[in-house]
Amino acid sequence: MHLHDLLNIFQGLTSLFSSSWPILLGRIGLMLLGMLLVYLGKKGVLEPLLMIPMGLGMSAVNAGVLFLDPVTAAAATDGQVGLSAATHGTLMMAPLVQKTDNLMYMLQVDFLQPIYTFAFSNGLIACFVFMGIGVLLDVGFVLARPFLSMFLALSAELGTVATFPIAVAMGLNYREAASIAMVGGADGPMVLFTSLTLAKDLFVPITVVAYLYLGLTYGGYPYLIRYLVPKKLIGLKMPAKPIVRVTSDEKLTFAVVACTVLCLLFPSAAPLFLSLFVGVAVREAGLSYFVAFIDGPVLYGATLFLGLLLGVLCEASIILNPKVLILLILGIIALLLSAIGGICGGYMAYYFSGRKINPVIGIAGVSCVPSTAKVAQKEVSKVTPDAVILPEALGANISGVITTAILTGIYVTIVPLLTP
Amino acid sequence: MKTAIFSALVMFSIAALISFAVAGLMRVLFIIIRRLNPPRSP
Repeated sequence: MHLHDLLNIFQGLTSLFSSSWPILLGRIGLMLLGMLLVYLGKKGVLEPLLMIPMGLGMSAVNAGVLFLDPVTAAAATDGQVGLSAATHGTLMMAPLVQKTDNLMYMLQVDFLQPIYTFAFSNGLIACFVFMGIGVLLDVGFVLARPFLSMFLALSAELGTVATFPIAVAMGLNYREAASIAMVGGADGPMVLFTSLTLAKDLFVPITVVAYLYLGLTYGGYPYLIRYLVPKKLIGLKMPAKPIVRVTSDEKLTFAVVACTVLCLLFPSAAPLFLSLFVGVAVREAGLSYFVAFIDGPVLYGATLFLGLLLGVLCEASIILNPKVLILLILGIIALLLSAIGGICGGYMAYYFSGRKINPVIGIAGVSCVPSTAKVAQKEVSKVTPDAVILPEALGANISGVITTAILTGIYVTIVPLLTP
Repeated sequence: MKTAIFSALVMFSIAALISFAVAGLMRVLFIIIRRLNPPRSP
């Protein structure tokens, strides 16, 4: 037995030490980061439903790199047999394949390739998650106070709008800038949809950055509330208003009309609108079997595979892009600006309402359903235990999903027109 | 850069217009449905 044969047995180690220094360090760093994500998910610091499969996928894909045979290496990179530069690869997924013949070949080799090709790269998984969000939404909170909810949600889109020119100033093109700016909307499926539509080359780092940061909003936003709003106003009790009872017929009618109108205005984002409102419609029509199906297998199945695919996409050779650092900075700017915008909107609502509305509900306009509404209520309850702002906060929260979907539609429709 | 700022403002204005139109639509639908089909008192 030669040394060469021995090295072939442990190809993960051999491929690691035969890589260039940046890739070697990147692979080790990403393996450790994957483990950290699993730990933080288990501890509840980050969203466990997404972070545990993502972290495990990230560690596994960076550990499981082997030497591909020339035919597979050529197919995985759309190169020519014998001329392909790549020799390293995995048996999990080849996201860069474009040619149909190579794709058919890779579908028989990589175990996650079918899910990636038929459900991820066309945005189906994002739409499944959105359908699940639709089933969880009670639009009655928005219908009770539509203008206040929409105003707060629009204020909380400051990050989505302001990050676009900042990203252009930092050297990204319009399509990439629009994709990273969507992080300000704090809605994972919409970031995925926008980046898949506008910036396919950068969708992996953008989506990973988005999901990592969205997990942090739950931990970071309470500090922002305490810093930006004085304690006296955090504990402000809002006057009790008569409860507006919205029937399921009214909610269903709104879902049908809003879906049709928004699809008419933005056909590019029609899959997202349809997915969201089909969830709302199924819930309000009382189709309990469909609700159980979408709320259970569809939502959780999509979340599991979304996490797993995002983790597997974090292979060092794919994710180590010079633009990642810029994306990390822009992602945090977008979320920070959105929260500040939301609180400013809350202050405006407070003054215009004759100091009756608690400004903290503004942060719930950031559409991380229902995390930001829960964060707002939790902070208010800490100061005044019997103050209830949750109905208004949920209204702003759900409106945030609608305004982010509208901005997604505008970005995917208008930004390609700006690009030469 | 100027184009990016201008485009961002235009896109936000369109988003604001449509969002408030959706809010208006909600209000109108709500009123119409209440008139056509008043909710039964409990």
